[in-house]
Amino acid sequence: MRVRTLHLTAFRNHADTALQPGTGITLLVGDNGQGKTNVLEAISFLSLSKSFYAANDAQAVMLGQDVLEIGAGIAHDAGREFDVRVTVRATSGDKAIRVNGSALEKLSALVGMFPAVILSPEQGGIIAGAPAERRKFLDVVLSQTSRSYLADVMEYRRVLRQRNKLLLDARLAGTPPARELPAWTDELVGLGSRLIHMRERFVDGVHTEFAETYRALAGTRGDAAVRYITADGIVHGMETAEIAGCLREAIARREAEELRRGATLAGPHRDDLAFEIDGRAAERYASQGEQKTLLIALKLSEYRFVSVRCGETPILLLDDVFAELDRHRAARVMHMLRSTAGQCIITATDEALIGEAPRWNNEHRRIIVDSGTCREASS
Amino acid sequence: MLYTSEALQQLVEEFARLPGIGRKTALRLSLFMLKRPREDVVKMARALVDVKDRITNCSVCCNITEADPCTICTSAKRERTTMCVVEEPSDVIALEKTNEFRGLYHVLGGALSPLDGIGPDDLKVRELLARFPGDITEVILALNPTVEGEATTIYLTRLLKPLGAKISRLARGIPVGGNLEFADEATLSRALEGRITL
Ligand SMILES: Nc1ncnc2c1ncn2[C@@H]1O[C@H](COP(=O)(O)OP(=O)(O)OP(=O)(O)O)[C@@H](O)[C@H]1O
Ligand SMILES: [Mg+2]
Ligand SMILES: [Zn+2]
Repeated sequence: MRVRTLHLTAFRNHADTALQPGTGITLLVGDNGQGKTNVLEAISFLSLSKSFYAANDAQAVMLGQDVLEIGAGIAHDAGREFDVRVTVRATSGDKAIRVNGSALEKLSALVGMFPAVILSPEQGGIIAGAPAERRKFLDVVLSQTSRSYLADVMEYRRVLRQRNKLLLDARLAGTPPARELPAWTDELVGLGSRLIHMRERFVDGVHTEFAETYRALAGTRGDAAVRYITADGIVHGMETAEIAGCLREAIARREAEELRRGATLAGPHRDDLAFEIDGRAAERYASQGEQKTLLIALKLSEYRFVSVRCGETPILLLDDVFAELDRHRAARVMHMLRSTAGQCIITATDEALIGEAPRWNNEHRRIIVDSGTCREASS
Repeated sequence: MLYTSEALQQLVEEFARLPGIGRKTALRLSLFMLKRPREDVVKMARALVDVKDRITNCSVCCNITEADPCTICTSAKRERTTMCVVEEPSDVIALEKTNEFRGLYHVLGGALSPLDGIGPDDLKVRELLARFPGDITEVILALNPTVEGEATTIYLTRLLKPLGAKISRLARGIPVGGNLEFADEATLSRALEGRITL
């Protein structure tokens, strides 16, 4: 997909901003607090139907205004054009999304239609933060590429709450668990094993590329690896049914502890991703720049995975990625971005940070963001 | 007092209890009733009381009925070897409309949901088991395609299997009485990918 035109009205500090990103790289450059990240956030509404970081839609409405609008002309790879319009009302929080004039009944219908891969400072947690952040990463990527995964995740969460309630009830009453517990366990194992299978396949699909991209970005130093950590007994390459068998056993082994804690203790909601450089855990041993490099390598692998699975080139949004990188790594990132097929929007406070600027023209654009306005820099 | 009549206020409050009816609509309905001829209003009030007084639950299938056992349970035209288990009386009505199913029914009155405090004892499960052994050789589990309907399907399968009847279920994902055309993309792709069989 390609964003041809973008028009923001009362969106954060953008009162009325029109923008035409280039077909290749677009650099949004400007001082702190001028509105660069806000532009990327607006594009995330078009792709994910929501902000990539803020939980509250209404917050994005410009203070003192009632309704924000994000309007965009988007083209699919095959040329089909879409007019997408997102509106959010500050007072009620009501959100509406129209594609070519017709309102989407379910916002989730948008997921995967205009795929985006987003790398922002908040996502540093994927490498060094809590396991929940890595699971969220997996769920967002896989939901974008598979509607059945999205449906399974939502059902899994509900089944988990139901099953935990039974366990908690038993704990509080000091009785054995209700006799319908095995039915909830079965359903949890069925959905859970499908999620684990898809996540395994994702990691399997990207890990070689991830290692290669890391090596290319880091120069020659360091072998990076990513692994999926799940319930005991589940090994690489298993089919869903085998995974289900292992998960069932893992839950059975924890039966007593589950009752003591009143919670389900095995399943995709407890799994994790492990990142390593030269066999050492990245969250404990990698430097800031190395962690950032891992994250970029992961996102570029995700980018290719999403391209293939969606059959549509995603838009790549990189917020502030150059801040922690040395000159060489920054130049290598830019080099890699130039060779990706799709559109890429990056932000920086200074053009010098991006290491190696492309020639600015219609393909690669440099846009100055200044107090909620955007203008093309004259080259 | 919000309204100039206590009777009106009472009626608005009663309407507002109905599912999907807010106070605004409740007021509109109340004023509408006020304009109707008296005999129409009496007819409606009687209809309301009648459903309450005349309808009970069939002691066999637990569906709503005026005669016990109900007309489906006593009908000579129904196949007595096949039974379809559903959550609500409305599901029976939907299935009857299709004219496809000629067997008997069992209405559970809901689905398992710990979060709502609903376990097997809150459903007509004991009544279901009481129908075995009998003429029934095939059970079709036609619960809603929700997380709760699915758990209930699994629970009943575990319970009924040892009784020897053949157990089947509606194709997963396609809503009862639903049409492929109207199933959303996620439902369809999951149906295609196939679910765990019982
Ligand atoms: N709802 C809102 N209404 C008006 N202004 C807002 C709103 N939300 C955020 N802002 C303002 O938008 C400004 C720009 O934010 P943004 O995060 O886009 O800056 P940035 O250019 O990415 O800066 P940095 O380089 O520091 O990351 C901030 O000063 C913030 O106060
Ligand atoms: Mg920013
Ligand atoms: Zn009956």
